[in-house]
Amino acid sequence: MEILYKLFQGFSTLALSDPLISFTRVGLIFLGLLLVYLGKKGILEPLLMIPMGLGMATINASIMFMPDGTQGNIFVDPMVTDVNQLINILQIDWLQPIYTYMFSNGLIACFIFMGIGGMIDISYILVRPFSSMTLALFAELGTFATIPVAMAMGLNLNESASIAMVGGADGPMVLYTSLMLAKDLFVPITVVAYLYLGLTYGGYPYLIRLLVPKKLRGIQVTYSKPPKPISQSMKLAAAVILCVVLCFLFPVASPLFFSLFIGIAIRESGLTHILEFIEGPLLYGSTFLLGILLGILCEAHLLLNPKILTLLVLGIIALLFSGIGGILGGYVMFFIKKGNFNPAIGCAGVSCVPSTAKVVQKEVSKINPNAIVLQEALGANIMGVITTAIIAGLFITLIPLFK
Amino acid sequence: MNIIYNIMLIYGLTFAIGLAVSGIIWLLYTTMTAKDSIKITHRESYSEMKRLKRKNVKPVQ
Repeated sequence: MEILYKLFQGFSTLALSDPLISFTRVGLIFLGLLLVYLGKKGILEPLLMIPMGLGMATINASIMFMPDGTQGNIFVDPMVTDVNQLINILQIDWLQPIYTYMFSNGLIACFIFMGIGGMIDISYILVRPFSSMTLALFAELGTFATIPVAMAMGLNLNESASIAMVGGADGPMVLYTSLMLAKDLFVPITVVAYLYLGLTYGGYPYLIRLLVPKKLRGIQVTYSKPPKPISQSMKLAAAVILCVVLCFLFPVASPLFFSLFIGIAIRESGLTHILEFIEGPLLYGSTFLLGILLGILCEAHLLLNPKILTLLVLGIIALLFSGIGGILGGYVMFFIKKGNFNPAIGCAGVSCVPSTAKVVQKEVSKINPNAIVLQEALGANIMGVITTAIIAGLFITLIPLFK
Repeated sequence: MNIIYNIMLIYGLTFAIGLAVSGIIWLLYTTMTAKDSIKITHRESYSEMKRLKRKNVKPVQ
């Protein structure tokens, strides 16, 4: 029997563990398989969910007995803090180098931001900065409204601010903020954030249908005169100046600002071969590795934190409030522009580039196939990224002062 | 209660910074596209050409 236990350690650790751990492991294996299925079906983002789901299922199946008799794995140990121990683990756990040198210092978040920067066109925010910014600011309602709720549910201020960042719907930003403010909880917070960001795509259409009547949802925004043409040089100059100004304002968030604006700068400077690299291999490679790591970090021992259920509830509250706030911003613009604005566009203020913008366009097209609101929605989307980075800077600087 | 006040303060600050950033973007856009407004129109360029022609005409000896 002992030989069998040693031979099939995945099963023996399951049998010899605390029942709660065993049930959680089995549950996470099935959840992982479900994520792969939903990713394949296109209901959730496949690029992230397939590696994440398979990682989640694999890590919970691969628990084994370590030489010291404890249960563990040979993938990654995120809880190691001692430098000597870390050096040893770097030579054993195959994903530890990626975790230590890319994930836990925010490098992977910056790489993803570079890729996002390479994909976005800042023309619209240059032409109509105020309307885009208004929508983005309203769409941050969830980021702020969730903090008191989280504190009422027993989290401390740093943890509350970190989970509230889910309201900004920007994965790299949640990763970065929780790393700075709540290092103990940054693994579950990041996992919750990415799980929910996949759900945003499926949940927001219902929110738009609920809060924006059909008559208003089909509005095509019109302009009295066409915008002045913007050259690539103008966009490059604007990106460079904005980057420097924002880094001056928030040095703590400067890695994120730099990463975003270097992507925009490369796009607008016509360096096509570099652009192909950052929006192709770099972005997709980083997202793929992030998916694997997030899945591997969903190990039962790590996730069985009493706060995880609270984080799951708070993540939904944050995204829900942000969506409502964004649509509220859409109504504000509707009244300011005397009816010449589609309130549904507000939902795109929740950054999550470009998913929410596509969701808005899809919902508007269902009512009025001739209405094109993608430009306005992408403007709000991009401003959402900048606003979330500003809030990350404010939180990292100010929240520790309020203790 | 104090926390809610502080959170509202940060939200207000975010609005102020966000609108200031929009102001900077608007200023950049206006400055960068301003040269379009001093473009010479066809009529102006025609009269300018005539003026230059007159200026360059050599006086008849």
